[in-house]
Amino acid sequence: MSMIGQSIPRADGPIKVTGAAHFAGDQNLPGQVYAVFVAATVPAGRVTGIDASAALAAPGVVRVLAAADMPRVHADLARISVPPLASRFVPMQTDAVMHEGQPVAIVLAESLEAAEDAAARVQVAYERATFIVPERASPEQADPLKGSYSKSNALEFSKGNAAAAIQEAPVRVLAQYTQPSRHANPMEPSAIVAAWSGTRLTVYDAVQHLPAVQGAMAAAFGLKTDDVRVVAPHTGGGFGAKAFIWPHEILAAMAALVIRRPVKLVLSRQHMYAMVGAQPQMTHEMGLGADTSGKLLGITHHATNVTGLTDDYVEFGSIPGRALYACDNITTSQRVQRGNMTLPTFMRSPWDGPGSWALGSAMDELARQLNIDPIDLRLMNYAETDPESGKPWSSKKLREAYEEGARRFGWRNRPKGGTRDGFWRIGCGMADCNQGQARFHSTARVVLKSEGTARLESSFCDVGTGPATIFPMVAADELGLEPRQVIAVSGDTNLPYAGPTYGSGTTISTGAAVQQAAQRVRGKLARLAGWNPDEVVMKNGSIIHGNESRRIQEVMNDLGVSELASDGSFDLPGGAPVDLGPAEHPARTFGAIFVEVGVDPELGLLRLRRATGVYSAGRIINPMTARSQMIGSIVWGWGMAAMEASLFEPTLGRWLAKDLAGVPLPVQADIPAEIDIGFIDEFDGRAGPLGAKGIGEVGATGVAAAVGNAVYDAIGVRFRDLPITPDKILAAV
Amino acid sequence: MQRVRCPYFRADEPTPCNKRVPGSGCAALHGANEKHALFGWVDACVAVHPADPPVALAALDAVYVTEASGGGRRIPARSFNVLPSEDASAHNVLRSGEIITAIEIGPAAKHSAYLKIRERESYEYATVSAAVALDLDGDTITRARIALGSVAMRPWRLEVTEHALAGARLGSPDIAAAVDAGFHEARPLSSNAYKVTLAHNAALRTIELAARAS
Repeated sequence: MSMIGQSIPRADGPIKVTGAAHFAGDQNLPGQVYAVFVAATVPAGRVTGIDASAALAAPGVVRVLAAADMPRVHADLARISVPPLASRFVPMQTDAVMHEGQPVAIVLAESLEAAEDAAARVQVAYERATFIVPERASPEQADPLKGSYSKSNALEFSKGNAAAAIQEAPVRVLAQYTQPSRHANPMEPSAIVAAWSGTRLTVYDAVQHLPAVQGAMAAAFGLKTDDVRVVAPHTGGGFGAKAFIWPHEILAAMAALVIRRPVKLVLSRQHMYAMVGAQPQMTHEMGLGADTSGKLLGITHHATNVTGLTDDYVEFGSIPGRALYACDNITTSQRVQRGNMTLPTFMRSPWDGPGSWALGSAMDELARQLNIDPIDLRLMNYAETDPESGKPWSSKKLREAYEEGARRFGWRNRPKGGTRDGFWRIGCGMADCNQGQARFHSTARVVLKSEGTARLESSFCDVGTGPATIFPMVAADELGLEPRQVIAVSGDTNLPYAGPTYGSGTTISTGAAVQQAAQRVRGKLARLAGWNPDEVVMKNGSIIHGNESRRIQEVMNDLGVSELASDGSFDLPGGAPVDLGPAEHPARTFGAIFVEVGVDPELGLLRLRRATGVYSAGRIINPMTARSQMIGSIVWGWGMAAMEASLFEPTLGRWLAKDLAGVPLPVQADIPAEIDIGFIDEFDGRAGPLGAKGIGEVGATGVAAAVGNAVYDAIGVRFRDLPITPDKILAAV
Repeated sequence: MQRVRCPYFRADEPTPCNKRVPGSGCAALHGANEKHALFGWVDACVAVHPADPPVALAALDAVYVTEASGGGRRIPARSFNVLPSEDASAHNVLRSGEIITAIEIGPAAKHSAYLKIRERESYEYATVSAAVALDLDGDTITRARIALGSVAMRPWRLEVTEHALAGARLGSPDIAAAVDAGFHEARPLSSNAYKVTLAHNAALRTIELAARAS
């Protein structure tokens, strides 16, 4: 029986829930000092003086570092692109203040308490400059000199003449949709322990991609890559906030270099808000035109997002407009509004998440105008090929997902919108889920041992999403072992290079490398047994050739072989480190989300009653962890729809509430038991040899649109600004 | 002794807030004041007291009994918190060294209800809350006590409504008219006009729930 497709609980579950798992901040090194940043209290200007006398007089304080005390980054850092460097701007290299909350000084002390206490005693004088509120800045073209974020997708796309087609269309939707900035708030804050040994640097870091940190750190200090070791056995959630290398990581290593002692830095929740990025506030100008049957004649999507002054982060929300529906006339564009804020970053679900909110809402508005079911509208405009390139998909079973989702939800005989349940009005809504498929170069090594177990080595990190559980399944499947007989060793740059744990690209990439390594080991074992590697299978701890079967132990022990090791890799065309799917077969994941909400219009309340999500996302390795991913995604989407917003306070030029009390996130009580998840049986062998695609992000797309559509169904009011909170509901009814 | 939840008061670094740094101003007055006061605010402070128990206790005319080295005192729950017109920097009337040793509550209010409104289902302070205790003679209200939470720096008794409800019949238009009257003195800020509607509807809903309670 194949191990792939088995529901297996998370291998790291017990150590996570008992506290035995060691995260970056749990590392303690002899002689370490604790670092706490002093953060800028002005949004723009420069530091004119730092008085650390009171801090230095406090017990346990070792040193207070200001910009003048810091080494300059090595010229090599200029060779590291942005991303994976989160931002070209490194604070404390000059006296410049580019945004509120950036580090301006570092207190180093013998204890965390002493460092926190002393940080509050550091007096910083500023020369204030006029600051720019990003969302009030005029939208502009992205500057190609301001980092590579803007080069990772199409800033402008046009085919046909969408504006004219919409203008002439008998049925039109022209609307603006907006959404606030949102912070990722992983349970584990960003944390790093940096230690130097001569010119060798070791960091224990909370990251989503170890080799990227290794490369950036080496460049920042002018070291050889091999002189930097990054260790991250566990990362306590990332959601994008730990995807790239943020300044605090470089500054912690600098502090360790200056003081010649290991430095431990755990960002406070407050410091997380301004020292790592968030999903940016966005404005979407949408246009849809259709004929009276519902056939789309034109789609326009012009998206604008806020960004910092130092680099242009572009949130490609316009992608779904050119990826979801068959249409001859499509125009999309992306612009940015620059201001004094921390550079935004990828957050679950980047690009398609914000974009699907706007497009999924506009499609519902169109369906309402046409008085046809939103599924029928989608089926009528089903994209059999990629609308942007015209090329055939790697695989797509969205039609099956609509059908299965509608069946499971009872969509076609759902309660009439506005049906009462006590004070509640019931509404149902649906929307498309979709996400681009990133792929990353990855390698892995599989070592088969003569006792009939295997070890899997790769530098991937498990951010809580389950790769350490499913990769042993992949190896076990090839080697005829139980997954528990395969030990995964990960989270260390001394191991074979793995791609990142973001972009929904871990399984498709590192999983393929693991599969190839295991297949090669199987081949070696076959040759040991004297059999043609192409003619063997392995199962139940044995290798089988025709009618012959031998135990792994027997084959290896007979020849005195204790270990068989092979490397495997997932290589991209041209040796690229990353791509967005195969060039000839655009790869995306798809799905359909259905929700039922209750709205209490008198009290402005919105509650989720049930949800069904069905996905076309390739081969599912582990249905249990996959289902958990999708439930989490729907909860994530519910937060986006109903409550999450990080307010950039325009008069102060800072995030107003930098904590979990001031920014509501969904809690257990918000989530109904009835969240139903389904996957369409699918094998996408064009996207990657494993047949799998990514599922970490697709489930969080479309949810906000489905919720907005359900609210309209319940009370007949269309909300085009997220989140849909009591103030807006009461103001509208 | 819950303190206010105003994000300017709670900010990691001081922002203009007279409760945090007396004399520094009130950033919320013209800032993000969606969750702020409708009643009893002054320019120096527009925060609300957000806790739940004091609202119910104020509706029930409870009394806090205190002890202190110079002798204790009895403080009505409805005036335990300090309105900013009296002292914008204060939270409540407790003095240094004074502790609450008992809370006295009158007889059980048979027809009473408490309603808490918040954008998420749990683990959140109220956007608006309402505590209502009714004395009924058949379907006629003989006495009503109504306190609202998160609309002022103290639990806010809707006295005008309470007076107007005496003698009103349940289910009659007089109920809504009485509640309307209680909001004539509401003064919304730049971003919280919705709270007038919300508090009004919450009061009306809670009267209905209290009348049904037994």
